[in-house]
Amino acid sequence: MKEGFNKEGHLSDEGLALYVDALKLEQVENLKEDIRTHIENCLECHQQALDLFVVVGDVNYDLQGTHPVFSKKKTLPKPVHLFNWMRLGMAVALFASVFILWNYFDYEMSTPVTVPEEALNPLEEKINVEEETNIKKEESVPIEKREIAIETPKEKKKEPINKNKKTNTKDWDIPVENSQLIAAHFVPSPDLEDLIGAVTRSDNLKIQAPKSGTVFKPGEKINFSWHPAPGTKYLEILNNREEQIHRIKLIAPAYSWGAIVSPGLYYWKLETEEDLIHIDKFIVK
Amino acid sequence: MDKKNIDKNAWEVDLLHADPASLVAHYQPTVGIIVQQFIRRGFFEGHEKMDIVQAVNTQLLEKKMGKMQKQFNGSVFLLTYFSKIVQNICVEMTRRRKKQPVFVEPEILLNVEEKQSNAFEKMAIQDELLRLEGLLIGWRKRIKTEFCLKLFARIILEEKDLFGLDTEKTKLKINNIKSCFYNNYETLTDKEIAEIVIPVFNIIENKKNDADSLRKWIYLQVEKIVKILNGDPPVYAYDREALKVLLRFYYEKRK
Repeated sequence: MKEGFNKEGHLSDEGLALYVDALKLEQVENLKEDIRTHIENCLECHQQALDLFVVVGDVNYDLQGTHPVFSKKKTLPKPVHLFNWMRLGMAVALFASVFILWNYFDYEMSTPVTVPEEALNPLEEKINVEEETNIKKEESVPIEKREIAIETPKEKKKEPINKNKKTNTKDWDIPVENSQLIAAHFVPSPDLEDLIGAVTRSDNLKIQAPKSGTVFKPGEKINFSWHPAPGTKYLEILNNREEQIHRIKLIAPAYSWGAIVSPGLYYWKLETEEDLIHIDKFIVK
Repeated sequence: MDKKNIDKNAWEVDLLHADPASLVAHYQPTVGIIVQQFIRRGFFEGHEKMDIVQAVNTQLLEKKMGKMQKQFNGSVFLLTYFSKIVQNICVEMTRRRKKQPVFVEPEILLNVEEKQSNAFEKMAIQDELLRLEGLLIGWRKRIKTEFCLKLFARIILEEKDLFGLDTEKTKLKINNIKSCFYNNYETLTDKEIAEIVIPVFNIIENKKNDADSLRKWIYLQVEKIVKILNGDPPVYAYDREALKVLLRFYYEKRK
């Protein structure tokens, strides 16, 4: 059965909802072609879609958050993206220059020779440069922007959906300079790695999914499930820097989440109010 | 952490799994809108609204929310999916009652035009405008189609309507369009309008079509739109003239 379609070959509830989301977000061009074509040829499904559109007609979808398929996030265009990297590079270069100058003059000043008057001037200059560097460093503050730039796989995720659209996908390729930064997202956390397998309190709990170290695509739905499951549990997802990116209280022994778009190594914990029950990892790549 | 402020959809999905009853409470305005929509179409009586809403809520809590927890795959906004489920419940209820919808006559559009419509009719018009909007947003060749529909409905054009048409190559021909369609042109026939427009389309599309084929193409789009708006089985009685009125309303409201 095709995704978005039911057994009868019509659009499923989710297929119809996806079409309506596309209308609301004006992303019809990015919709799967088979859904769009079916709507055009099936009066019944078109009717249902329009009726659903009427229901949500007054709802402001801009406030609805990030769409799982149609990202509304305005991704930084490449020139801006590169510009940030250039600024970062310039800041690093300036910092390196100041560091070399500092060492040089530090060495000169620490040598047991008489200090010539003029040697002090560059020291003042160094301070000025350092102040300037600080400003540059503050201006560059590209950390958040870099994070946004790395989020671009969310945009890339659209590509398979819209096979007919000839977009310049190169624009969204992650630049080579980013590779090191991305690699940093895969560095295991020593603390969390130690806890994998060392379940503190099991209650015979068996994890069904995901298998440890499973690799998922960005945005792919990740199914977490275990049994038995008496009592409320908390599922927590962390990145490799041990930062919590998602936490949810669960009664059911299963949960699906497909909101991770940044490649990296992730950990997930299952907890009760008092105890850590299980910890494991998965990869988004 | 106040997830509601971070990502509403993610917060709602969390609520679906953690506390489905609260999600039903959170979505009550949506349930109300959908039931009202069915009342407006004559499937339910107005005085039944609260009973219907209650029946929908009961079904949601007893059957549907559990299914949603298992079946919702997160590929769409939960609000849209939930709305579809509520619509399905209402459709099922109408089937059991074997109630036929009220046939909506396009004359109510004329009542609105003459400011004689009641609140009920105004809501019906609002629905129709939204259906037309949804239809146009999803339409292929939307810009060209909307441009032609405006001409078909004899809507006076503005500068923004020439988006994509006003280029270096079309400059001379565009002036003709401006002089003809920037003022009232109701006396022009469809064929005459097509004759004015086709030279610009031919330049843009690098084609050699004649005015008659453009006129036929416009009629084809109009027929398709009328068919979709009327529904299957038909619950509306649109024809070309009624569509013209609806288009005038729609573009007037968008100004």
